[in-house]
Amino acid sequence: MSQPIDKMRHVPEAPTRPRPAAAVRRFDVAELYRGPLDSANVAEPEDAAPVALDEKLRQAYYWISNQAIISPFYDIEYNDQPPKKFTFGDHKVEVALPSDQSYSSYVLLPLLNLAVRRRCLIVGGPGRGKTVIATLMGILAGYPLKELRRSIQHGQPQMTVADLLGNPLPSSLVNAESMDEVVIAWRRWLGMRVKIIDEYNRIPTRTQSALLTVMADNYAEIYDQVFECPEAAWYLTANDDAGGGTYQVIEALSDRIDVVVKALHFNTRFLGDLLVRIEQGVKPEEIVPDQIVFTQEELDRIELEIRAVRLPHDLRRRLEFFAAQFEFYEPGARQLEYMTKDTVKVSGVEFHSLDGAQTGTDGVADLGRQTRNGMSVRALMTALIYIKAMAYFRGADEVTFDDVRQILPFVLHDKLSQNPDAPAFDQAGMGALRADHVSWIRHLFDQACREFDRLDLDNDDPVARLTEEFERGLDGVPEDEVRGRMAEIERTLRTWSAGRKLYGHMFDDILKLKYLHQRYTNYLRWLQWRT
Amino acid sequence: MAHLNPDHPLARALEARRVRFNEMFVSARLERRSLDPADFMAFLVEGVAPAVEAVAEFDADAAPRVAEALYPVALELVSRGLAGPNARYPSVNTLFSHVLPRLGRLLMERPARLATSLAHATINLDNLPAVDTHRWLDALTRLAPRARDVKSLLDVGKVLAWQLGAAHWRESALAILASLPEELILPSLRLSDSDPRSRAELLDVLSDPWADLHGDSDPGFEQRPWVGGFLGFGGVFSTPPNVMAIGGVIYAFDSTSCYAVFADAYGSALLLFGHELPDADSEDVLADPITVKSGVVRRGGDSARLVGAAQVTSTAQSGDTLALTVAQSHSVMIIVHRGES
Repeated sequence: MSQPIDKMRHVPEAPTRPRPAAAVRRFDVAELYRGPLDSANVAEPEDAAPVALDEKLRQAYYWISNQAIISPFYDIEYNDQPPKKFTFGDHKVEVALPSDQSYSSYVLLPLLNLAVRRRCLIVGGPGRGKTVIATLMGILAGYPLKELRRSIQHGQPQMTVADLLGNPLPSSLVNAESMDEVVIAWRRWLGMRVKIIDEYNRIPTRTQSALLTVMADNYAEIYDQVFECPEAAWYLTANDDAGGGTYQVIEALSDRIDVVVKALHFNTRFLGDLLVRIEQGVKPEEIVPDQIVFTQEELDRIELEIRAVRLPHDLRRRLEFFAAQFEFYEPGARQLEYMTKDTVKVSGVEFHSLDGAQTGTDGVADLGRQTRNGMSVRALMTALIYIKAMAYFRGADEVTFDDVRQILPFVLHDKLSQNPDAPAFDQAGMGALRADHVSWIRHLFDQACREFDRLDLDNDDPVARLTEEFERGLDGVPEDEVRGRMAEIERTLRTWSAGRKLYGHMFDDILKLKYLHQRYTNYLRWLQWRT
Repeated sequence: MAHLNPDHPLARALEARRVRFNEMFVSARLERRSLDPADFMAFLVEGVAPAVEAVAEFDADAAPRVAEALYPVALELVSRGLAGPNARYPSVNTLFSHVLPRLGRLLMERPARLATSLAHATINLDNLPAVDTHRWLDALTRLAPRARDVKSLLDVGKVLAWQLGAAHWRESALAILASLPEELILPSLRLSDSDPRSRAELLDVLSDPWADLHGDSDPGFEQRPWVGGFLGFGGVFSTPPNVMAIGGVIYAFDSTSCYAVFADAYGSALLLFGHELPDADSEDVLADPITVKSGVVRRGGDSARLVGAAQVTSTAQSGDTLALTVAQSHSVMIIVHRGES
């Protein structure tokens, strides 16, 4: 580096997320030599305790958000007490000042993606630092800048499968007597644990299909030769998330995107920081401090630690209730199991041709009306891992409600397909949610939670009770007990059928009760056969 | 503006790494625009130069390395307003100008580590009303020639901080004392080299917080200096405090803050614990309590009249230590009871 910028190399001191003092604070004379000066000047190797990996992640976050990316947005808000709120303008635009440590999604989500090794799409206009943030993630994973820059795949209309994956060696192509004798010169990026695809929506459709195989199945194939790729964190960038690139992004490829983050606009009040950057002639990716670079072993360990974060049962129930809202589509079939949006989609029938069917549900309150699809298993799995990663990043070993609320919009951004014609969007103040999908999904979750509370499902959830009973096992359960349980299932269904309209969450609950009933029926038959 | 003779070892070191040092200054100024070049230069001349000069007398070749290590420390101290002509902690200036030059050999060993640690210690002790920072610096300087390395010196500094009044560090200082090099034990306890007691004997005596290593204390009650005081006069309490003992620790608290009270034979200290008392089912109950009634303190057959103990509002006891508050004071009275040995 030609001009060392010590200030920019400064890594935030641990702990980056201080906890309340222990019940009985210990006073240690070692405090005598602790103070405000840069700890790098003080620490002796024998004194230095290893930094916990969640702490290292936070240090990386704060280095990037304070020194590398000029990103003044704190759009992932946490509050430990009611935030102070202000409203502006005729539309009463609300601004809250978070009372707890809050984060910039533009830095946080790519970092969590590095930790859980999934696929992150960074969307935003040109010149907003999308490639820089992706490159920084590669450097945090231990790759040298030069190697990383050479490995970035730049989407362009002439990009071929060979450009993307590699070429057969000409000599082997001439001499080979069978396909398996062809030797492929695989592209180097395929073997890397951070993969960056710049402007992926400018890649031709055929090449996108080759990319899909790598992204989805972790291998590349040419001439019957297969290259197995390592688990990797993917970063794809696009100037437009509405499919407006040179080529339409194939659905299967966009479906593989796990999380979407937006590069927000540049706040002109930070022009002074830009000026400093220009005057010093330093690029952040060139001065990443060694302390925040992760080894492969550390990244592996982080992923394991994230998986170990607990999701409490009551939160899981809220997530289930939320996810259950969207797949059900009553006009789409006659048999309950097929009353899904997927049934309609696969059939090729347009939704609007069925939308007129009367179901009796409240068009505004029915959250399912706001989407054209449901949540896939992949989407649910992705949501769970990022939610855990969020809790882990905040130093917790258990997920909180806010972790779920803050992460869902970014995971479901491209997974929930909005129905902009839903009646809910014609309500006062709802129109903007047609464009602002992050707020829309957060709104959906808030609405679902309100309904969950209204139904008092935390305290009175017959399906949960019956499921718990069933999961204790059937071994030794006598016949009269089985009959009693089946009668309770039937009683519950009868109660529901008496007065309630069919909503998405009931769809899953009814099917779950049907499942339990069937299992008891089979068990009962077996019991009778045995005797 | 202060200036250096071009032949001074510091001047030569600065000249040799001029570009690097200038960049560091520019970078620091970008971060803190209040950093005044004249202030920094003055601190270099009056604070850093004597230390570099002292090192050069030991080993001329080491001086540039020491200068390079002290420069960023000095820059950070001045840019944060902790040192220099307008420093919030003038003791830091004393540390650089008078103490570091007398630590030449050790300074050569770990210049940045030593300077930064001692600067932090100076600031921390300045914030403790119970400890006289200059006494600590003097004691440390006198002991420095006996320290075989930087770690030993810093360990001695920890024990000295406790010995000079930082009672809250008593336990951890005793732990350090248990492993301190033999030749540093007596001086770090401010005992004469001719004192015949072994490390084990000394530690045994010190297990009693009120034992005086320097002489016999009379049995009975002793009233120690008050601690705390009114916030408006440099104290810590905004209203007259109360005290309570929980889990063997005495806490003093007013309507906004709670402090842990530490006291032993070498001093008393109040350390901020939080806004509220720690959770506890009940206050400590002792088998051998000290009581106060009508200004008289009693335990067993001992009693004494206290000065200034009218209208007692609360008492709390831990071992032989009693803390007491009165209606008309923002301070906490500390009383010790020594039994017959």
